[in-house]
Amino acid sequence: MPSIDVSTLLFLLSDGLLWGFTIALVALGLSLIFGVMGIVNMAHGDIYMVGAVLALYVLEWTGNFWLSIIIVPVVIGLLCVPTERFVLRPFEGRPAVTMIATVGIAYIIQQVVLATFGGMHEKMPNPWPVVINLFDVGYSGYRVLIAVISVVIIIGLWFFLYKTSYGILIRASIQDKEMANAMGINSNKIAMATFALGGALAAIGGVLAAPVTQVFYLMGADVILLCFIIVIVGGLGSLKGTLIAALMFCTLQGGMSIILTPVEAKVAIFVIMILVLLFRPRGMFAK
Amino acid sequence: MPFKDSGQGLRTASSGFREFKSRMSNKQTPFVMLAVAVVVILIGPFLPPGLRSLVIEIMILCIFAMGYDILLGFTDQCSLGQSIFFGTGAYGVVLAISYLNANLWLALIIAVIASIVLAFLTGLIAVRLSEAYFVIITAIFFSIFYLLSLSMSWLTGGDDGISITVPSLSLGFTELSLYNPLVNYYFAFFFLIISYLILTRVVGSPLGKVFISIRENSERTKFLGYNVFRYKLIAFILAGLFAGLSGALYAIRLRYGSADFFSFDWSVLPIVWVLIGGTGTLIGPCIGVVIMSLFQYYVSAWWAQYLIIVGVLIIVILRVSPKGIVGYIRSRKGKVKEKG
Amino acid sequence: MERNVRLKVIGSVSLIVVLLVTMLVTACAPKSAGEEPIKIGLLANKTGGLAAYGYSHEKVAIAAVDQLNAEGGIAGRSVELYVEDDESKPSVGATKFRKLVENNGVDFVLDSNSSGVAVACCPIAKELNTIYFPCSSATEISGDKGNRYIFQACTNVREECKGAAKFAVDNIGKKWVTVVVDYSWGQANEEAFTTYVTQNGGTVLASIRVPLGTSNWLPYLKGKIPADAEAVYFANFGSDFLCFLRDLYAVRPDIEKLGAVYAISARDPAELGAPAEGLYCLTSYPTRLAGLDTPGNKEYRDIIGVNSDGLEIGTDKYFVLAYDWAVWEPIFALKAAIEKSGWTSKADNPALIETLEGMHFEAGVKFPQGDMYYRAADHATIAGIYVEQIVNGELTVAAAVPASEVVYTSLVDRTKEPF
Repeated sequence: MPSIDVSTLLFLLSDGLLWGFTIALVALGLSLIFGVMGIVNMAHGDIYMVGAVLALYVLEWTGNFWLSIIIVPVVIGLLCVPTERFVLRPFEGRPAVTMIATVGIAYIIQQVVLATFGGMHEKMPNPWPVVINLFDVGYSGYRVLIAVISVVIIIGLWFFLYKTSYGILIRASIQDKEMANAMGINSNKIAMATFALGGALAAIGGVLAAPVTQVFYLMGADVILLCFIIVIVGGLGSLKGTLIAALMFCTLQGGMSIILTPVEAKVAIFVIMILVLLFRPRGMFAK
Repeated sequence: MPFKDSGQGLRTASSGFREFKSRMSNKQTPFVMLAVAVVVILIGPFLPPGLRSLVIEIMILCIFAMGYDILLGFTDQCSLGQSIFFGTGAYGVVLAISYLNANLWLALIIAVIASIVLAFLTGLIAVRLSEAYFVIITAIFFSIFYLLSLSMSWLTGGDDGISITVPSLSLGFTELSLYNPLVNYYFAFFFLIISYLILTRVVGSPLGKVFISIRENSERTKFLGYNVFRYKLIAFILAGLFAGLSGALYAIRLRYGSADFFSFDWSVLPIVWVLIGGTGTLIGPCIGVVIMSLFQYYVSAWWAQYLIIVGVLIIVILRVSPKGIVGYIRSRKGKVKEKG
Repeated sequence: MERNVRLKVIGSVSLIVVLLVTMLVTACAPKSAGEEPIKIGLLANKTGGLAAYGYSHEKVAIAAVDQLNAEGGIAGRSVELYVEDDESKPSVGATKFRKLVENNGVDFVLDSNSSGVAVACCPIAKELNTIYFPCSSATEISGDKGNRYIFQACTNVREECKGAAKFAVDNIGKKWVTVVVDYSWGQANEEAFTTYVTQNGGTVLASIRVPLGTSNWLPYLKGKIPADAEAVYFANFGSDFLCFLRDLYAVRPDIEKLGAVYAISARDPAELGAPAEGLYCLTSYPTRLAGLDTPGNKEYRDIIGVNSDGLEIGTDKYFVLAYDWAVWEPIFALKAAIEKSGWTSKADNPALIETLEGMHFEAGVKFPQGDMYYRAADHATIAGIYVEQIVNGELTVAAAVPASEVVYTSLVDRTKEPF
C-alpha cells in the first residue's frame, strides 16, 4: 500500500467535490420530481443518457459543444411535458405503478437509442482542453469548469425556487400537496413543470458529463442508483439535503479510495449510507 | 408521501377483508387452477423440446414472482433488492454442489436456508424503513452484493460464473437424472405447485389477513395491537425464501451460477411481473412472467429492440388496469355479476 | 350465470389445449430427409453491455454463410443461419442456446463475445450434443469450464498474455503496473500477465482493480502507481478505456502503456489524441490491412465490406474487427471437418469432434487471420497474435508474435473425455 501523502489526499477530496456538483445537478432534478410528484423516476438515468447522446449530435451538426448546454435541456424539457401529461399523470398517487411505468419509459428510451445511436462507446472530445496543475496532477480544466457551471445552475435553481412566485408554488407542493391544492394551486400544471424541469436538469447533467464519462446507451444505469441514494439519504423533499449528500458522497468516495481498494471504498460508502438511514430514517435533513 | 398502491382513496382494513373473503370464496379459482395443473402435467411429454424448456424456466420464475407478490402485493413493500436472494439461492446450490459435493436435496436446503438467513439480516435493517426509503435501502443492499459478487471471483467465479454437474435426484426408491428434460419439467412443476399451495395457505391464514391489513392501513393495524414490523419482516423473509428457491432451481436448470444472478435486472423484473400481472393475486405475477418470457423468447428473434414493445405494453396495461391483467379480469367479472 | 362463467372457463381451457396441439403438430411435422440444410446458430450480443460487438459478428456470420452457399454449401447441403440475441447476459444466453438447438434445430452454435454467456452455454452444449464455438477469451473455456463439445474459436487470455509478455519486457519496460476492470476478464488478464512478465524477467510492482463502469479513474491512479514503474498493462474497453487513458495521462504522462485485446477495437486512433500516442495494444487481428497484407485477408475484407483502414464500407465508421475472424473461421473449419469425416447428422458428432481435434488450417480467405489449429488436448485455437502501436495518430503493427510463442502447456486433456 502506498503511503498516504497529504497532496494525494487533498487532490482526491477536491476531485470528488468537483464531480459532486455535477452529480448534485442530476440528483436535484430527481429530488424535485420525487418531492413534488412522489414518483420514483427510474427513467431519470436514461434522460441523463439522452442528454449526453444529443450533445454528441449537436456537436456533430453544429460543430459547437456549448450550444448543446442550451439546446438539449430545452428539447428534453419539451419532451417531458407530454410524457408527464399522457403517460405518468394517469397513474398519479400510485407510486409503485408509476415507478414501473417509468421502467417502461426507460426500456423505450434505451432501445430507441440503441437502434439509432448504436451500441458503441463513443468518445466525446474535450471541448475545453485546458490543463491545470492540481496537487501535481495535470487536471482537466473542463472538470473545474463543469463544477462552476453546475454551481451557477444550482444557484439559478435556488433563486427560481425561493424568489420567484412559480418556484414558491413548487416548494409549497413539496411541503404539503393537499394544502397547496386547497389553496387553489393548479397541481397538474405544477407537476408538469416540475417533471420538465427535473428532466432538463438531468439532461444538462448528461451534456456536461459527456466529455468526462463518454457516451454509451446504458450509461444512465451508473448514475440512477447513485442519485436515488443521494436523494434519500439527503432527505426526501429537502433540496439542501440532496446537495449536501451529493457533495458528501463524492468527496468521501474520493477520500476513502486512498486507503481502501476501489471496491471496498464503494462498499464502505454504501454501508455509511445504510447507517445514516438507520439513525435518521427520514434522511439527514428531514423535517 | 404515502408509498401505497392500494387504489383510489383510503379503504379500511375491514373492507379489505371483505374483498378478500369474496375473492377466496370465489369457487372457480381452485377449479381453474386444478384444470391448469392437469393440463400442465398431461402436456409435459408431448411438448416440443424448445417449448418445454421455456415452460420449465417460466415455472421456476413464477415461484420468484409469487414470492415477491407477498412482499409488494400483500404488504406493500416495494423492494429493489430481490436479486440478492435470487443470487444467494443460486450460489447456495452451486457452491454446495461444487465444494461440498452435496446431493440435490441438501444443496436446495442450504440454498433456501442461506436466503432465509440473509433475508432476515437485511430485513432487520430494511423493514424498519417504509415507502421510498425502503425502496432505496434495498437498492443499496443490492449494490453492495452485486459489487462484491463481481469482485470476489475466487468464490463466485465473478461474471464468468461457475458451472456444475447436477447430481441425480434421489427419491429414496429411485434415482432420476435432471438431464432428462421430462424429469426437470416435473421437478420444476413440483416446486411450483408446492410454492403455490404454501403461498395460498399463507394468504388465507390469519397471517395473510394481517398482511392485508398492513397494506390497507398499517397505522390502524398497529393500533389493533399487531407488531407491524414483525409481520413486515415475515413477509420480507417469505419473499426472500421463494426468491432463493427460485434462484436455486434456476441455477440447477442452467447448471450454472454467476454474478449475473445478482444483477439489477433480477431486481426490476419481479416488480414488472407483479405489476403487469396484478398485485396481490398470486396468479397475476405468473401471467406477468409468461408475458415477459414469451417476448424475450419469440419476439427478440424478430426484433432485437423488443423491449420497446414491452415498455409500451407495460404502460398500456397499467393505464387500462392499474391492478394488472388479473385485476382487469376480476373487475370485468365483478361488473358482469352486478348486472346479473 | 354460474354456468355461463364455467362455460367460459371450459372454453378457454379447451382453446389452450387446441393451441398447444397445433403447436405440437407443426413441430412434429415430418421433414423431407436427405437434402435438409445444415443449420448453424449464432448467439450474438445484439443488445446489452457488449452491444457494440453483436452487429459486426452478425454481419460477418451472414457473409460467411452466403459465401459458403455460393460455393455449394457443405457436402452438397446448403447452410442456414439462425441468429439470436443473448442480451450480453448469461441467463438469457443459456435460454437462447437452448432455443437455437431445441426450437430451431441447429446443428452447431457459434459465438457470444461475453465469457459469462460462453461459460454458461458450455455444459448445455454437451447436454444437447451440440458442438459449440464460443468467441470469448476466458482461458477456462479451454480449461476446466469447457468440455469436449467446446472449441474456443478465438485466442484466449493466457495465450495473449504469454505472447505479449516477452515483447513487453524486451521492448517496453521491466517494471510494470497492471490496471484492470474488476471482473473476470480483467482479473484473468492481471493474473496471466503477472505470471508471464515475471517469467520473462520483469516485475509487476502494483496491481490495481477498478469497478466496471468507472468514469473517474483519478482516485485509483493518483498515488497508486509507484514512481519507478515504467509501464502499465491495462485491461478495459469502451468508456472505461477512454476515461482510463485520459486520467492516466493526467497522472503519469510519461509512462508506457500496453493494452489487452479489445481496448482500441473500432476506435479512431487519431481521435484519442496525445494520451494515446505511442500506446501499444494486443490484438489477434490487425485493424489495418497493412498489418497483415495477405491476399486471403484482402479478400476476406472485401467480402465482409471493410476497407483496408478498418472502416466499414457504406457507413465509413470503424468496424469492430477484433474477434470477427473467430466467427468467420469456424464456419469454414466445420465445412472442412464435415467433408473429411462424412458427418451427416448429430449422431456423427463424435467422429466430427475427433476430426476437428488437432486439425490444421492454412491461411487464406477462409482463414484470414493466418495459419491456425485446434489443439487436440484442450480445444484451444492456436494462432499468432499482434502488438499494435499508435504512432502519429495511426495504427501500425509493432510486432507479430508467432503461434509458437503464444502456445502454453495445455491444462486439460479432452481427448480422454468420453462423449
